[in-house]
Amino acid sequence: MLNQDGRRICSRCGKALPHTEIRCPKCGTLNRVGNVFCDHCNARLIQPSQILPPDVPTPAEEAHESSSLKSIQLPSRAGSVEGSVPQAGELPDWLLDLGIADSGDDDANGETDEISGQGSYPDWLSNLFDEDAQLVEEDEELADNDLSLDLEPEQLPDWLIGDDVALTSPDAGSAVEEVPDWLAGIEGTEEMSAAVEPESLSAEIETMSFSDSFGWGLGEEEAPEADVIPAEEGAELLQADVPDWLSKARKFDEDEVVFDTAVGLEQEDEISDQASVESSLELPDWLAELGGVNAEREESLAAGNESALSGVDNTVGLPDWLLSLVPGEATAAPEPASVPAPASEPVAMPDWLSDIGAESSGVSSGVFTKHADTVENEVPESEGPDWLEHVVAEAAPPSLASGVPAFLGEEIQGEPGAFEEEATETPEWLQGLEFTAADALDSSFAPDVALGKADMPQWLQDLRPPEVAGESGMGGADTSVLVPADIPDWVQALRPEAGEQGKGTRDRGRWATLAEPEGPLVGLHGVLPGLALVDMTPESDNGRKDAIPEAVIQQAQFWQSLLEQPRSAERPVARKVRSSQASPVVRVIVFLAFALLSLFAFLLLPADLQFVQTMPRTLAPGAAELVTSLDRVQPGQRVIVAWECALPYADEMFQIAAPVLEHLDDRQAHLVFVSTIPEGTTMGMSLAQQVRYQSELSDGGYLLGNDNGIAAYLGASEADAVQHVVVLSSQSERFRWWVEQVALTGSQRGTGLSLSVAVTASVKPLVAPYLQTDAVQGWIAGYTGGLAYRQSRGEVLTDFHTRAWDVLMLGHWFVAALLLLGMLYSLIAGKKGVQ
Amino acid sequence: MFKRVLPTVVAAMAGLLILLGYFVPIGFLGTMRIVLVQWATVLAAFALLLAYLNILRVHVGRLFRKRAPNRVASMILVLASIMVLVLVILQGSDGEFVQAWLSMVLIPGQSALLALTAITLTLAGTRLLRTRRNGYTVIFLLGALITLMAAIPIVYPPMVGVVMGFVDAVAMGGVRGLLLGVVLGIVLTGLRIILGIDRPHSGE
Repeated sequence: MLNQDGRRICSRCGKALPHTEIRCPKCGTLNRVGNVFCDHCNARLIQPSQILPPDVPTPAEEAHESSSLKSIQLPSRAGSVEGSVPQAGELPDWLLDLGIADSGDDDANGETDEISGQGSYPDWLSNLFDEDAQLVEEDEELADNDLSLDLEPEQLPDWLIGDDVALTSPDAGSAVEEVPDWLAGIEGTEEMSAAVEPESLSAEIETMSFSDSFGWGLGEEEAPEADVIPAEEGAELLQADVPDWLSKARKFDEDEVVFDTAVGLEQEDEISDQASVESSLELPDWLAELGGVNAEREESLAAGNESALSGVDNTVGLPDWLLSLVPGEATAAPEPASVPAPASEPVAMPDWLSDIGAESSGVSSGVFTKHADTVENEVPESEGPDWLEHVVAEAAPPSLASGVPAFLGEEIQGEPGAFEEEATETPEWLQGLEFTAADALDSSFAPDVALGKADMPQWLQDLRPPEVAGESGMGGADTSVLVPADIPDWVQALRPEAGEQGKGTRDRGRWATLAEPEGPLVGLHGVLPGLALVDMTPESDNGRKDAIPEAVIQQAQFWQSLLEQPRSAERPVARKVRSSQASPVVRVIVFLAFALLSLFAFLLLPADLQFVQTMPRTLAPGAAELVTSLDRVQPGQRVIVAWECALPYADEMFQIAAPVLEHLDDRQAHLVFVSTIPEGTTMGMSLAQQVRYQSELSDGGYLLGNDNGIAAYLGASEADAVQHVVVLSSQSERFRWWVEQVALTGSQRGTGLSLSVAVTASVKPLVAPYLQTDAVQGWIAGYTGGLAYRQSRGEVLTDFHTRAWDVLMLGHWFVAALLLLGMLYSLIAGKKGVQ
Repeated sequence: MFKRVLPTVVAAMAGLLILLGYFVPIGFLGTMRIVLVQWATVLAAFALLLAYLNILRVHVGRLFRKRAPNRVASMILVLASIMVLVLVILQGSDGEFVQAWLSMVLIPGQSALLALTAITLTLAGTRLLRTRRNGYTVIFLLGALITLMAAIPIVYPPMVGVVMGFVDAVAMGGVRGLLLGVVLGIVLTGLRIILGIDRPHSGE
């Protein structure tokens, strides 16, 4: 069963329907069925060549290419179920929709409908059919003649079954089966003529291929094997089966067929004249009226009296597009100058109708005769097309003549003889089809109605293949005669509209099935919803997996925001933390305290008052050992003095090293100042000058390479006579170098190399592990150590030394008091920033 | 080859020779050790010269740059360095002018900065508990107080020795641990270089 598009489950069996989407040929995005343009890139989803493909694949090809583009009709609903595309591609879709009724049984299991040669009905008609079926079910009077899709084949009319008696000939090709019955009725006589199998005319008749003859309206399938018929008989049959106006339209629609213009036109004139007489007996009333009108029109045109035609106003109820069906369009179409009879001009016939005529003959025989002079217009009455016969037969009953078209009358008729009873069961919308068309035929002769190319909107013209457009009889028509009234509303509704930027026309798929406001389908719902034509397999739904991750989007937005930020924008800078106003005050207080304390100790403190009661010797246990070590220096012996003290500690080192240098001077040692600090030797020499060193002094120089330089210097020959090394350091690392290298050199010499150390107070805790080793014979640290060394040598401390000692002790106390006060204040006030 | 293998081989061989020179009583190894160390000293001398020239290049370039910061300081540095270089070349490292410059400019300036450091550290210690109050802060302050008290033999002289002994024991233990770690790291680094595991000379 065909379901309305957009449904996810079958309305009958409840099973899930395959989801169809259209993949954009440009970006690959899957779009809703019904979109003409891609939602992502706005590219056209369906190319014109795909909408109106020149060739229609065979059922086998369609089955093989189930995921490719399928249907070709624009104003039709795409089958949501694969295989629902009508097979009879020989006809224009909309015409096929009109003629083809439901003939296939819906698969109750939701499987795809089989593509029968009878052609499957379009969706919109199927919807109509379903609605009608529902109405019939509700109507008890029509209960016996339920038009639901569950009809048995034997209950179906011939045109639905497609097994027309006339087509049961074994010579009928497969293509015949693909033609609906009502069209097959046209070719039924041709089939019969083909079944005659006369002599071959292959030598005399130029054939043309099936596809060539039908142009864009036909599929690419190869024509069935040509049934060659005698030229004369075949021409007779063909010409008799096809109405004259159709046959002429067909002839002019084929460019490949090279006619002898003069002969052809003359013959056409003859054919038209004869056909106009003969066909009047075979054609239904409305077609007969066409012929009559044509005749009248010829006469009126010949007489130049067109006013007689203007009085005919039977266009009420006939849509404009149906006006193009009538041969009267020839009046609006340009006609060749050599054609005397404008009524028989094939130019006036739309090419799609000419395709019908040509197709009907081509399907049956597969060949066309080009020698029109061999065609006789005498047509046996019994060889007329079925549908025309039915029309003639049904024209008599007033009930059918009042509103039931021929092919629908055949459908309702079901069995011969039951027409009158079942005609009343025909839906009203179908009852009005024929006569509105007949009325339209009459109205088509109104001179103020400009038809021809105006019947086809420009956007539909663009969709047609170029060769067809060029071959069309309307191709030369002036498009300026196109008026909006010629375009049906439902076609107007299908006109593609430009969506917003980056937004497709999604709403098209959700259009409500509004009732037809006018025309023969007034009041019907679900008429021709504009849906796309492509069925895609559910497996092809891969485009949605390419969604951009959110993280990537955020990163892109971040970089974009950075790029959008102007260069002159102020960058966030670290805000300077403002210190509290109490900080400078405290600093000043501390500074003043230190300064006053120093001045007090040196200037205001009485000379006999001494804070320091403890002898410094007790604070410097290594001072005595250092004195002992230096006492072993012999006069004139080279003593290496390593000055590894930085400039800030130079003053402190002067107070520490001065007693040591004085002791060495007493020992008349030859001092060699070396240093791994560039300015070290200079400071050492300066200290020696301050202590008025009397013995020999020498500048050993700056030792490059740090510990390597020390090792190189100690390993040099000039250091062989050195027995003692005094290191004056304020840096623990350099002190360590000396300790290590001296110890190593002494071990290598075997005689030993004594090491004495004087360091500043700040570095003493860091070098303490080295001080209390055997490598160091004696050591002092800080100003206290200097005083202790003096006391160890038996010197009497001067007033300067004792006052400096007091200031140092007071300073220590002051700092300790500040720390304690700060700790108490902090404990009381709490942590900063915490309320 | 010349980027990885050769430098590695040379470094490993030099390290092995010097190491053997310390432990193996062979005159050749000792001589090789002294020669290699002297080579290193010469290279260090060139490195010092390059450092001096680099300082001049940077600050001279800053002088000729219009918007360069601290152009005055750069100018003073360049002038002082050139002047001292000339004086040392002319008078030697123990010249009168060099001695006066050192004792009258450099040493007082550096000592003044160190004295300011003492004041700053004292203020920081008083506010330490306000900004960071945890166990380590308390230990730090108590350590500072104990060290100060140990250096103040005023209150009770016999106590000074006890406090000093405590401080020396604690400080010596910690520092020795640090030194042992440093020594082990040095040994390990030397072995890795000798064995070619680390190749700092080849940029790896």
